Amino acid sequence: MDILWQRLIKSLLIAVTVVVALVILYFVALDYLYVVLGGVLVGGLYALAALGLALVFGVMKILNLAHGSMMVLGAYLSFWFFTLYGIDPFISVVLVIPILFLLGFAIEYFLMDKVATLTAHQPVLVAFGLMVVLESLFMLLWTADPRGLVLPYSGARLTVGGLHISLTRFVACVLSVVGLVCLAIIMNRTLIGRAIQAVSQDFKAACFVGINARRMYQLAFGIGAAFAGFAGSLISVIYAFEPTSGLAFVIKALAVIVLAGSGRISGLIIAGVVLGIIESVGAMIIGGGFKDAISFAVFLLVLLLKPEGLFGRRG
Amino acid sequence: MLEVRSLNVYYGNIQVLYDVSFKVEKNELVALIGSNAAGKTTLLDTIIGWLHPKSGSITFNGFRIDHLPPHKVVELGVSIVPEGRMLFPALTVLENLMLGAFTRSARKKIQENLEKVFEIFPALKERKQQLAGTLSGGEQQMLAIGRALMANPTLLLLDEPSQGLAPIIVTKIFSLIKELNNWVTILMVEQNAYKALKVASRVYILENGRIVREGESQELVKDDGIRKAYLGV
Amino acid sequence: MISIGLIILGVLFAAPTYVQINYFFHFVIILCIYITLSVSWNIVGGYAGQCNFAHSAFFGAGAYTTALLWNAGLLPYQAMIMGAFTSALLAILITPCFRLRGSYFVLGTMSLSEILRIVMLNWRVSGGASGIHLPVPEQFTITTYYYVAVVLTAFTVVATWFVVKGKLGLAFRAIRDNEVAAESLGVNPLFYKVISLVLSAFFAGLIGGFYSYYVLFIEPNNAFSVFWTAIPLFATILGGAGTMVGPIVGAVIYVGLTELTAGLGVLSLLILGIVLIAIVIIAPTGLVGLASRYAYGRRTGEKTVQRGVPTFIRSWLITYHKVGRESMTYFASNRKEKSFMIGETKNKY
Repeated sequence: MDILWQRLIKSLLIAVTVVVALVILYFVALDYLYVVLGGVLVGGLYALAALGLALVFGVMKILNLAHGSMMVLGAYLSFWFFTLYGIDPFISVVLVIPILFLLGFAIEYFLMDKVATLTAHQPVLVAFGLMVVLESLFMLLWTADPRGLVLPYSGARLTVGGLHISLTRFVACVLSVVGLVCLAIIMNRTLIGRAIQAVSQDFKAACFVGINARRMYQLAFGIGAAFAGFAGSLISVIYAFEPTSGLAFVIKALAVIVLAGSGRISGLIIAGVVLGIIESVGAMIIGGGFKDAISFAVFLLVLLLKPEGLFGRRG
Repeated sequence: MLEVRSLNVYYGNIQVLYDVSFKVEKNELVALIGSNAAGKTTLLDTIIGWLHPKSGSITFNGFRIDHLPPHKVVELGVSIVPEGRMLFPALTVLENLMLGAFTRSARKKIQENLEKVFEIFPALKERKQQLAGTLSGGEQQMLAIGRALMANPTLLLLDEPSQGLAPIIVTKIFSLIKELNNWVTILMVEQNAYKALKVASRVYILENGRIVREGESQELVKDDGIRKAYLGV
Repeated sequence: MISIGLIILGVLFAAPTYVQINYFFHFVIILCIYITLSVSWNIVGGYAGQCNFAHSAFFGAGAYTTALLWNAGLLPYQAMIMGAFTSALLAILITPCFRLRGSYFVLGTMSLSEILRIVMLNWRVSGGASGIHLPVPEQFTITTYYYVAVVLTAFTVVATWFVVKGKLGLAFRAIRDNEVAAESLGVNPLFYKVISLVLSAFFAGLIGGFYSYYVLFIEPNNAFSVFWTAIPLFATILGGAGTMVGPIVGAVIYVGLTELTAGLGVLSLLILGIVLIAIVIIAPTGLVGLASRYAYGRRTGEKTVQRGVPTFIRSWLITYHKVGRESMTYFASNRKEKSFMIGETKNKY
C-alpha cells in the first residue's frame, strides 16, 4: 500500500508541475504553449507506438525493426478504407487492429519462431528483411508518393479557454490513451496477460506450469503488431506518410522506450509526451529540417548517457 | 503409471543419460539419488518435455510423452517443482498460484485446488498479495510446490526440494512431501540421500547418467556400499 | 583459393584488350563497388561480430569528402585517400556506440547514419539537398574507371585477407565468439572492435570516393542511403558471414540478380527481402557454410549433414508444421531442444 501511495503522490506532483508550467506558459509565451501542447498531443501517439514495440521487446527480447513498417501498413489500410469505401479512419481502426494482429501472429508463427531463440543478430536481420519486404510491397501497392488523409473535419478546432486545439489530434490522443489503458488491463488482469508476463520473466518456468510459451510469443507479437496498426491508423489522420516512413517511426518509438527505461505504461506516456515536446520545441528552435534528426539524437544520447532511462532501474 | 525405457539423452553431441530405465507405480514415492552432474535434472527435464530423448520411450498412463512439449505433458497430469524453484518473481503469490492452474483441465478445479493449497500452506494465504521475489527461501519452496499442485497433477516431479534451505526447513519440507504423497504420486530427485531414503518407498541411484542400483529404501539403507558412498557412515 | 583469385584477377586485367563493351565495364565496376563494400562490412559484421549499420555513413563520408576536395582542387587519388581517412576518423568518433550490444548496437549505428544524412540534407556547405555536381574529367575513359575499380577491390580483398588471417583476425573472432572469455585472456574487446570498425570504414570510404568519381553527382539521400548498409549486409549474410569468400560470392550473386531483375523495379527489392529472410532462417551460415557442410558430409558420410539443402528446407517445414502438435519428429527435435533452452545467452543491451 505504501508503494502505491508513493507512486500516486509522485504522479500527482508531476501532473501539478506540468499544469503549473503550462499556466505560466499561457501567460508568458502563448506561441510556445501551442508548440508544447502539440508535443503533448503527439506524445500520446508516440507512447502508443512505443507500446507494441516494448511489449515484443519485453517478452521476446527482440527489437522488431519492422514495427515502424507495420505502423505504415496500418496507415495505408486506413487510407485504403477511407478512399475506397469512405470509412472514417477512427472507425476503420476496428478493422485494422484485427488484420494487423493476424499478420503479426503469422509472422511470428512462420518466421520469427525459427530464429527468436538463437543469437541476437538473427531476429534483427529477419525483422530488417521484413521491413524491406513491407516497404517494397507498399511501393508496389500504393506507389512511393507521400499520402495523407484529408477528412471533412480535418480543420475543426476545439476551443478551450481561448486555446485552439485541432480536433483530430485531440481525438487521436484520447484514443491512444484508451489503447494504452486497454493493454494495461489485458496484461495485468487477464490470465493470458499474466501468462505472457510469466513467459517474459522465466521462459522455462512458464513452460513448466503448462503455458505454451511459443503460443504466448505469437500472441505477444500479434498484439504488438495490432497496436502498431492502431498507432499507424491514428497517425494517418495527422501526418503524411510514405513507404519508407517506417524507420523514422520505429526510431521514435524506441526513443520513447529508452527514455521510459521500463515497459511500465505510465512511464511510456510520460516519455512519449517528453519526446513530443522535445521534438516540437527543438524543431522550432533549430529549424524544421532537423525535426526527424531530433528523435534519433534523443534515442542515441539517452542510450549512451543514461541507459537506464528516466524511470527505469538497471538490473 | 510412469515408465521410462532405455532413455538416451544428449545435449548437442554430449550424451548425458545412458540407457536409463525405471518405473513409478501409482501412489508411490520414488526417489532418484545421485551426486552433482549425475543427470538428475536432465532426467526430469526430459520427462516433462523440455528436452527430448534421442532414443528410448517415456510412457505416462499408457501415453507416449517423450516427444510432447512441456505444456502438453502438464496437461496430461504431470507437474514439476523445478530446480531452483523458478518462481515468477515480479508477480504476486496469488498470481503465481493462478498461473500454476493454467492448463485447461486445471482451470476447472482452480477454486478447489486453491483452497487445498492454502490449507496445506497457511503461510502462503497470509502472503498472497506479496511479490514472490520477496518471500524467504522456505516460503518460496512452498510456493513452488503449491504452484505445481495447482496444475491438478497425478504425478508430481520434485527437483531437489531441499536445495539451499536451512536444515529445520528441510525437515519440514520432507514431512510435507510425505504428507502430499497421500494425494499424488511423487517422483523426487535428491542429493540429500539420507533424507530421501527416509521418506521414499523405493529408490534408484543414478551415477554418471546411468542407473546403478535400485531397491526398497529399507534394503538400501542397510547396504554397506550405499552407506559408505551416500550416507557417509 | 589464392590461385583462383589470381586467375580471376589476371582475366579481369587482360579483359579490356579483348572485350570492349561498355556494359561489361559498367557491370564489373558496379560489382567491384559491392564486393569492396561487402568485404569491408564483413570485417566488423562477420569477423568481429558487430552488426554494423553505419556502413552507409562511412560510404557517404568518403564520397562527400572526395567530392568536396576534388572540387577544391586536389588530385583525384589524393582526394580519395583523404576520403578514406575521413571515414576512418568518423569510425573513431562513433566509438561510444560500442557500449551498446546486440540489437541496440544495430539501432544506434543506424540512427547515427540517419542523423548524418539529415544533417547533410540541411547543411549549406555540402550543397544541402541539391547535392554536389562534379566536373566531367576529360582524361578519364571507362577503361580507366575499370582498372581503378579492379585495383581498389583487389587491394581491399588482399588487405582484408592479411588482416583476418593474422593476429588481428584471431582477436576479432575471439570477441565475436565469446567476449568475456576473450577479455579474460587479455584481449581488449573495445580496442579491437574499434580497430575493426576503422579498417572497415577506411575501405568503405575509399570505395565511396571512387563512387563519387564514377557517378559525378552525389546528394545526401543517395550517398547516405540505408542501401549502402543493406546491400553489403545482404551479400555477406547470403554468402556467409565471417568467411573471406562469402561476401564476394554474395556480392556477385546480388549484382547478377539485380541485373537479371532490373526490369522489375521495386519487385527486385521485394525478392531481395524475401531471400534475406529465407537465408537467415534456413541457412544462417550462408552459402559458403552450406557448401562446406555439404562437402564435409560427403567426405565423412555423416548422416546429419550429408543431404545438404533439401534437408534444410525439409526439416524447416517439418519443424513448423509439427510445433504445438502432438509429435515432433526426429530431426526437428534437435532444433527444438536448442530453442527451448532460451534466454540465458542473450544480451539485453
